[in-house]
Amino acid sequence: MAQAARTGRALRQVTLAALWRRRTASILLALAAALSVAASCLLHGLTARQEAAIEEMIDSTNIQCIVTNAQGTGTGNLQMVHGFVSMLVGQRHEQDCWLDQYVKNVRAKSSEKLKTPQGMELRRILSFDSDSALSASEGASVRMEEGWTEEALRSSGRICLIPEGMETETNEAGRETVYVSMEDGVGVELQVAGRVSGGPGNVIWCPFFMARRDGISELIWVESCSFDIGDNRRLEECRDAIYDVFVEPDPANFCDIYTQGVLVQDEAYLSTLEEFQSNLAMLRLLLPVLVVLCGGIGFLAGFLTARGRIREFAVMRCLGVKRRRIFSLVLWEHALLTAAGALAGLLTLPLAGELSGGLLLRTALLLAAYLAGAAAAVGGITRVNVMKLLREEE
Amino acid sequence: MNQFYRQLTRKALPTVLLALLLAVACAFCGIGFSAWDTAERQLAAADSQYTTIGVLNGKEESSGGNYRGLLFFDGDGPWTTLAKHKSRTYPGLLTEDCRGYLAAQVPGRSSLSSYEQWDFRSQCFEAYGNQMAVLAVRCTKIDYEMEKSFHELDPAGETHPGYWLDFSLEDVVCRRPEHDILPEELTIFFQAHLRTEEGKIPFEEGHTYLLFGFHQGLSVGNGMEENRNRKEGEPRWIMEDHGREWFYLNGASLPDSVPARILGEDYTGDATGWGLIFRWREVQGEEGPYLTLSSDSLPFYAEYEGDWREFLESEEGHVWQEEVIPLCQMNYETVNVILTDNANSMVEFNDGRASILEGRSISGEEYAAGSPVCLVSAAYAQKNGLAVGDTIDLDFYKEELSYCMDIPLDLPLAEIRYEPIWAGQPCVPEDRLGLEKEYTIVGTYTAPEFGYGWHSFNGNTVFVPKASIPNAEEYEEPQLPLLYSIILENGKAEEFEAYLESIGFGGLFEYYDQDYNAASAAFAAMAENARRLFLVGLGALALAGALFLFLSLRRLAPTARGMRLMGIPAKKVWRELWAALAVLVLASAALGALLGWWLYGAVTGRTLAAGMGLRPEALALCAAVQAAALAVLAALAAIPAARPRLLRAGGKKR
Repeated sequence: MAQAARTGRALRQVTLAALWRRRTASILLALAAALSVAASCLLHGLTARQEAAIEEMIDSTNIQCIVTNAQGTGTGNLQMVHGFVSMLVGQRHEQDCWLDQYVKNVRAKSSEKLKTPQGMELRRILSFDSDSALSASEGASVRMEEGWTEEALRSSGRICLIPEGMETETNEAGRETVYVSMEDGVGVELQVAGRVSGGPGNVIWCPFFMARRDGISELIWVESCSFDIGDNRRLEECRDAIYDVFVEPDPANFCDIYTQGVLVQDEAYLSTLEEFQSNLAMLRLLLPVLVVLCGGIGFLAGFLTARGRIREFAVMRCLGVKRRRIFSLVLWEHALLTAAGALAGLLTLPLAGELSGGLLLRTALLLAAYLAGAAAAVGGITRVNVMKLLREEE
Repeated sequence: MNQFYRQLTRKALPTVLLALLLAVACAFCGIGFSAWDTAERQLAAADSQYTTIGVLNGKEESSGGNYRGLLFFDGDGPWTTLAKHKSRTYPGLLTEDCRGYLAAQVPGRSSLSSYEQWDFRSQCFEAYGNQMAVLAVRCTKIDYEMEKSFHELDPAGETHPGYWLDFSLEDVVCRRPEHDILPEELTIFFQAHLRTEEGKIPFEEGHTYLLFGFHQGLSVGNGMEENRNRKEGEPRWIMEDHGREWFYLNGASLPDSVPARILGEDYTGDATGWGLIFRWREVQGEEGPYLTLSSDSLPFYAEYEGDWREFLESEEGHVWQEEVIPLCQMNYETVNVILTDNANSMVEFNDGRASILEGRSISGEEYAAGSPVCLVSAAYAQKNGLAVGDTIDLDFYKEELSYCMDIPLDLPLAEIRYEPIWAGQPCVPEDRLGLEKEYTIVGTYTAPEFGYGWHSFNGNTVFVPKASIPNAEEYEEPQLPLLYSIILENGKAEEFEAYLESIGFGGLFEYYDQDYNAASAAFAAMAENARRLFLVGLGALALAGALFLFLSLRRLAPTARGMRLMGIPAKKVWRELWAALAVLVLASAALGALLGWWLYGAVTGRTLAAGMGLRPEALALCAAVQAAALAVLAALAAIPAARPRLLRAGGKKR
């Protein structure tokens, strides 16, 4: 037993000596292993980076949905009952409508002529971008008074945005207000929450659900409406939920106030995502290619190094060392070099971003392919017939 | 025979293995290159889904206090659009879409009317062609004469006396059929300055007339009320049995919109002028100057007795029958035509307010080639029974784009800023271009049929490639926001704006990028990855090439030394050595290209869309460059090997 251990140690020393003697080849072999690991790190890094970027894109892209009439021929004068908007913003949960879970950033606009101030119009909006008249491209800018934010437009409060320069009154509470009354004669005092400069001067904006009278629900006719998909990861689910309430616009549809269409503008998003994901899939498929390449390089390295030592192996066989022992010895050599190369290759870890189980698995797979290649080559060479070889040498 | 070649083939296995190593490296490099090429094409394809634009906002002054117009002066040169500036280079500016604007008659196809959609939010939606009408009326009252007042036909003409009349509607001779929902009992208010040759008011109380011009339609308080408390299913607007509307000769219900052209001098020395339809001249009367119709103008009135149909058959009614009424009907068939190089550069298409409903958008090739294709609104297509693939005939008219605004009479003009509505001027024979062309509908778009805003277009708008019209640049109007956008490289809007700010013109543009920013990180990652992959491929090739040359030359060095010892010139040794290596290198490169083609083809065939995978020509180019580079390296590496130090011992014993 002790004899065998001593022999093993001696053989290993012989191996190490052989590695040192052929240090150029050893360095090259270690380098090949290091490169394999570096390639693995790089590929992992590329994939991880691309995955993260795609995730970010999925999370931050807003897929816009435009409400149209049922036939899809118009979006600006829908005359849609406000119940659709209520569903979109989550005011119909008691009716078991959970559409708001699938959408976000709902924009809606409704307008009506005012009797007072005469010649003006009251627009109900859910957000600034509900009305293009408030957009910067139309030259408008909104300045909210202290204590108010855009969010107030989603409430049912009696507040308003007025054109810059419009005359206001101050009520008993010292608040700046304007009094508006509609064609039906019902009037309401609205507190000024903001001012619009550069926009139309004949429009007053108020929250979409502004209640004119306490406790009385009124029908609001929506002129235009749009929203974004709530969760792009559940795009299909969101689409299904949306089309449970709305219809897909089709010229064959019948138009009535109960039927509204929605166009989901997801073409650019989907085609971009498809490009990114196919590129990602391509990166992922490059790993098997790399494995094959590593196996090939391992085989070549094993063959070239073992072939030059064939006489050495013959001598060892003559001295009684078994073929399996020689094979494992040479493979150990390769394993040693591979391990050294792998450690060096791990210096390129920053290329991968961070160490992860996936990366380790990939690296192990590549090294295994490399060693398998080398083993195949070494196995072939160590199987050579000693007698034949000695005869040739003689 | 080449000694080196013999040496290499005598021990074929190592040679083959070395060649294989090089081939694998070549394949890896080829794969890296192909992946980079593919990624670049994928990036371009994904990038083309987005258009980043800048449009002028309503601000007149920039951050630096400069007026907007000054930006467009090319240094001390003339006013011109940004892409043509020579004095400045704008970072990120790809191009501009200077759109042209024309009107066109589409024979047999009726344009959209807001009336058919029961949309009475603004009378301007019908301005102006849809408002043209010939009415049979009875003069019921001459309210008063305006002696010196503002006049629709003469913005500067406080000197021309006008008059104000009431008519009752007797019958409709020609009006858009959709307007027949107006009450039968109509009182028509008429205000004008045009008089007879003698300077008299051409109307008398109790007499009947044909009246030609623009009828305003009903408005709130003038025969129409908003049905504020309507129930579901009830219309928004309620018309009274008796309505009141204005009738104008120049669409002057729309102040600040289309000012009459300033009076000029004609060849006779008379002051002349013309509006949307009529032409007139100034006559010096005893009590001062007054206006009367020019002899070459269409009439705006004709007195008749009895049935107006009989009048039309008469000689006096000939011009009404043959010219006036057909002109109205022709205007009911006109559409607005926007000549563009990229419809996506318009705000409404770019931000999603307008989108393709059926078919597709006009392609880049069609824009470039000026193909006779067009986009029409879904509403227009539906009304006229058109579908994608159908054709329409466009008979073009030159037209100036104009805006009108609803001005409530009870609000002071100076205090109010109104929302603009795009209003097409009526088509008149003298503006006809004589250009008729058939266009194929490639897509229908959905958008607000009628809307407000400087960047809004209406459902009567047809988009055609600019290059499909000869001399299209003549019809460009880049001063108007609707007809001008800058197109920027995706992701470069901030850089562009920063540059404008640095020259004192910040804040004049608003930018839209179709949410490109959300995808920009993915774009950057993909581009970076592609580059890295290619660089790694190059690195692998360099390493394998070095290994190949090192090992090969080590094997061949004794032979080279032997040849030199035998007195063979170094040059010949080098030539033979290089030839042997070159064969191997070329074979390896070819094999690598095949291996790369197979491996990468297999990978991309599974993952990428057709047309996005391997490009054989790219791979062939890569293989050729690889082979050439390796051959050069082999030639260089062979130089010292062909010149061994013959006086030294023949290398280390192994």
